[in-house]
Amino acid sequence: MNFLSWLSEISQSMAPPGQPFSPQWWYVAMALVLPLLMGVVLAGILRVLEKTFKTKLGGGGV
Amino acid sequence: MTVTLPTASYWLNYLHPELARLAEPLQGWFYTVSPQGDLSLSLIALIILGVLIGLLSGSFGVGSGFLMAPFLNLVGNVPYNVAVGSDLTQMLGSATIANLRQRAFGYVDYKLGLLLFAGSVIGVECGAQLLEFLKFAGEVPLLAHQVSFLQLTMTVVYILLLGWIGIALYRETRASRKLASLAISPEGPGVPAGSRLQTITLPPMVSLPVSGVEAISLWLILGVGWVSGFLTGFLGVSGAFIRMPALIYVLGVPTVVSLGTNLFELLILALYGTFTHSLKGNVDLILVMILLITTTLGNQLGVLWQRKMVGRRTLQLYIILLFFTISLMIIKLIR
Repeated sequence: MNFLSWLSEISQSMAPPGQPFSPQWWYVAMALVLPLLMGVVLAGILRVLEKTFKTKLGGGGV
Repeated sequence: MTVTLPTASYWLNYLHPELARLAEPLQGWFYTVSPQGDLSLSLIALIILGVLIGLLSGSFGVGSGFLMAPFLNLVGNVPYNVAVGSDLTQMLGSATIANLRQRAFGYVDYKLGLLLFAGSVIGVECGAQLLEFLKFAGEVPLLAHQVSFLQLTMTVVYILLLGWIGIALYRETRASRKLASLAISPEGPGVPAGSRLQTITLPPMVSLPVSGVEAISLWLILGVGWVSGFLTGFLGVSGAFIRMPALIYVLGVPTVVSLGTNLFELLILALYGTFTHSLKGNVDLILVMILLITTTLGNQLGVLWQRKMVGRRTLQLYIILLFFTISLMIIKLIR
């Protein structure tokens, strides 16, 4: 839950109200790192499931 | 249980006060807007949406991007710029999974991938800049209401895209039914348009040894990259439905190489697309996390389902779903 609050916090614009969105450095970094990391973890989970249940899962859709 | 989306809330308040009217019937079911203007989506609805779209993608082999953004806008009231940016960021995760899992199946032509990327970067940036322009283009009157130009344009563009895909799938099911009844070879006598494009010799010419292409105009590769990149930057779709046929029929790349190269290009393309959309504040990180997990689960279920059940009848259901979505989008816009 703390992580979600932190994500929420870094997603706030740095610009004053009424001005166009100005991103925080952490927000841009997390947008790039978070899906990459989650992709690696999810691919690992699928591999473990395949080994455990001796089955062939899908290759991942894009 | 609901989940508050910070970036979607920001843009909902900044640009789209009229969206509250447009999606009013769904308020309380799928989303709520607090008096402070925070947009919260039902977690159950988001999970169902992600799993369902992943299921469709896994079972029909058609990407989920072109359905995700319209549905997020339809049921969740998420502004189109956030729906597109978040969908593209989610695609970065999906592309990572696909690259890790499918790298053994296809060869990668890195030279071609990087040349395509050069065209794609410009395409993604053009698409993202066009979205940025629409975001701040103000409102237009529509049937006694004011609708943001972004909402109107994106609805029309997605209707055209979904309609085109629906008609193409319908033609395919009709053709396969005809072929099955006549038991003839699917190969037609005509020369594919791509073969004619390969005769373009506008310099500089490049060779692609890994793909077995002796000489091809660089502009052709950059053009293919630009078109698919533009679709990614503007609509949040992978562009694979353009890039894969283009790689095979326009550039003459063998299928096994085009599979790996397409995934490699998609990964670096999604990385750049995510970067530029996050700089513009179009990415909702919490939404991305939920969508990536749920679409991955749905995708695996879809693959299992496809092995057992998918045939002409289920493809027809998919076509009905596409046209049903179009009808909902029109109703949402004009009501």
